[in-house]
Amino acid sequence: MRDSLIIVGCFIAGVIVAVAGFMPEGLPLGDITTWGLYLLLFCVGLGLGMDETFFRTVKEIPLSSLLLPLYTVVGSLLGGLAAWFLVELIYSTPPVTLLDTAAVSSGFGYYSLSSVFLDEARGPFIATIALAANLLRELLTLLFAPLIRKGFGPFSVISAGGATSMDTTLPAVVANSGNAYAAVSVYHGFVLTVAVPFIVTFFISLY
Amino acid sequence: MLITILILLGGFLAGLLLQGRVKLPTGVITLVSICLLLFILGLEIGSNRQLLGNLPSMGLIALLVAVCTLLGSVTLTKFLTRRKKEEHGA
Repeated sequence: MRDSLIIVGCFIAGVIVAVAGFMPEGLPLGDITTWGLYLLLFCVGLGLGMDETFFRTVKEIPLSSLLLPLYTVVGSLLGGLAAWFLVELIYSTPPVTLLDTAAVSSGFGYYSLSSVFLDEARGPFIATIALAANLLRELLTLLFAPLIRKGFGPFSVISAGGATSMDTTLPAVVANSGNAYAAVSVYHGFVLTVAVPFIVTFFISLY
Repeated sequence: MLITILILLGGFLAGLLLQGRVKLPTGVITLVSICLLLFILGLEIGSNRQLLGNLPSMGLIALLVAVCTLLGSVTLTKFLTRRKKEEHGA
């Protein structure tokens, strides 16, 4: 939660600095974004590779829940499709395409990575939607975890958190579904964290 | 797309090799790079009047996507994990 606040704070600080007119002219924002993204990707991989508990965690997972990340991916993308239909209904000229919605939906709560990817590929409009949509998904999961547990079962709290089920929403999973679900939750978050760059870039490559 | 995959895999393999040998503050480096990138995203939006005017629209679409993806994933998971339990019981 503290990290989320810092991250959102940086975004808001950027908006304020620019609105106040303090931004230096001629900054190579595109280049900085590209290289920053490479550094970020390498660090994400490094962090996952160095995690000694990962393989131990995988051994504790019941075979029946190995497919859980797949349910989350398919369910989220179907939900994204529904969201696109709603956007079509609301706007006479929709500001986002079906592919945009699919790419934003593939953040699975991983707002930082999905938004910087889409900033490079599709510009700040889609990137900001990705940031807000995936941040909201994490917040909604934290807020409504008890309701989700009641209405949709113990595995659904994990699905709701998406990629964040390994860190920020893990406490909500443990509190509402039980300790037995911690290993599945970490495994699920790990798989989705790795999947986000692949699936988002897959949709970007379709443009 | 290929560069993305290669960098991520490269990081993962480097992590496996370094595992238990050195302690790197990957969490801090990740956080700092995310902060830098989102600060830049903020700069882009703040310096573009048209984008600033679009903030309500972006917020609405984001809320729709957040609610729909969350509901979609929990619904499918409910359906598929419940069916599995019934199979076990049978």
